[in-house]
Amino acid sequence: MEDEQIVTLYWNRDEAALQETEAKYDRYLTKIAYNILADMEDSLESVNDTYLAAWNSMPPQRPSVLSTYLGKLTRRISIDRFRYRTRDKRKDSQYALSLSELSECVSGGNTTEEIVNVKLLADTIGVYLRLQSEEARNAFIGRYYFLDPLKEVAAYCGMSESKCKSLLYRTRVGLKEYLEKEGFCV
Amino acid sequence: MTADKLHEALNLLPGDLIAETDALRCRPRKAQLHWQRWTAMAACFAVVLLAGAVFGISSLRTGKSDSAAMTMQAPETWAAAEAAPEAEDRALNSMDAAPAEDAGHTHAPAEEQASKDAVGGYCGNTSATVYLDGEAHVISGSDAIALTDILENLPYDPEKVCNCIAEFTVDTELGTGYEISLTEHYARCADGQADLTEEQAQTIQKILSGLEKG
Repeated sequence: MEDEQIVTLYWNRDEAALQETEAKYDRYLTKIAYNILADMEDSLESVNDTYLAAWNSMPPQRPSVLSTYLGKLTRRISIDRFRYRTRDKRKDSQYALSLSELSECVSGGNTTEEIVNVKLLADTIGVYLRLQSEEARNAFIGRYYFLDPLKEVAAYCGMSESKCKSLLYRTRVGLKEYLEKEGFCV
Repeated sequence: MTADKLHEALNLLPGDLIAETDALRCRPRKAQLHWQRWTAMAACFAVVLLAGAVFGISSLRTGKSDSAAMTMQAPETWAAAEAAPEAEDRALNSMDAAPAEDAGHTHAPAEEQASKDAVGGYCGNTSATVYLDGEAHVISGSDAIALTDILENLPYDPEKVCNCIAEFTVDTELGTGYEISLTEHYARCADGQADLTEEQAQTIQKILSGLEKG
């Protein structure tokens, strides 16, 4: 079923929307959740929470790309779940690894955290990514948004792992400089 | 700012950026990779098959040489072998018969009048070397003269050359690379191939009984 038809089912409050969503996106969403949580049970719970969140948010939301919308929900829910989990489970997570990598871009201090406008930050990152090559952009989003393992990112970007790692490093350094230039206290 | 805050911000990235990468990561991977893997496996399999075939052929040839060597190195049992039970004869002959059948022909001893005199009175020859099963055996004196005489005086026919595998080779002082099969009664050299008479085969057989290792 097409995304538009599924969204229409949500808007009609038809429970078939959940079945269709699960049939089409369960595997996709589970992968996103598993990349963050590294635990199948937690991932499945996150995906179920995603369906509930989708049911509660449509209407009023009417996403044009359902996969991206659901993926964002899963990502947010999984990160929230990750934060409240025991530390023992964190070590195998791609999210934990990405936190470590992205910490190069920021100071880690809490003093500026409260004044950072997340939406503004997101827009600035978006502008920065659009300035990058398609290769660098895809690698960055694959690694830090979808939290795919480096090996997978390198594979679908068509480059070696070492090249991908180097490209990500340069992109992170560039992001830090760009954020500083735009007035963010990193 | 913390990395967590960056992740929060990443969650608010524009949908088109996310969709672009998502399309890439969800795209079916190149089937070529699988083909490469299968091609490599097929190539390995072909190499194994080829090696097996080559090994099989060389084993068959070695087996023939071994059987010939056994016959040559124990000439006294030759006659006994001829008198052996029919089944054993068939088994022994079957190995040598295969190439002859493959070539679409059979070998038979030459008629006595078809060849020149077995001993033509060759003089001056002092030695000949028989190569059998990878070893060189030196023949000297009257045996060498007789063997050289037979081989030098056969009516070699260039059009008669077949691909049958010889049992041993002989180098004389006058020529090299005589290929001989006593079982099939023939000798061949650069000039062609000639049939041996029963008498000539028996003479050579007697000569070979006194082989000494070179």
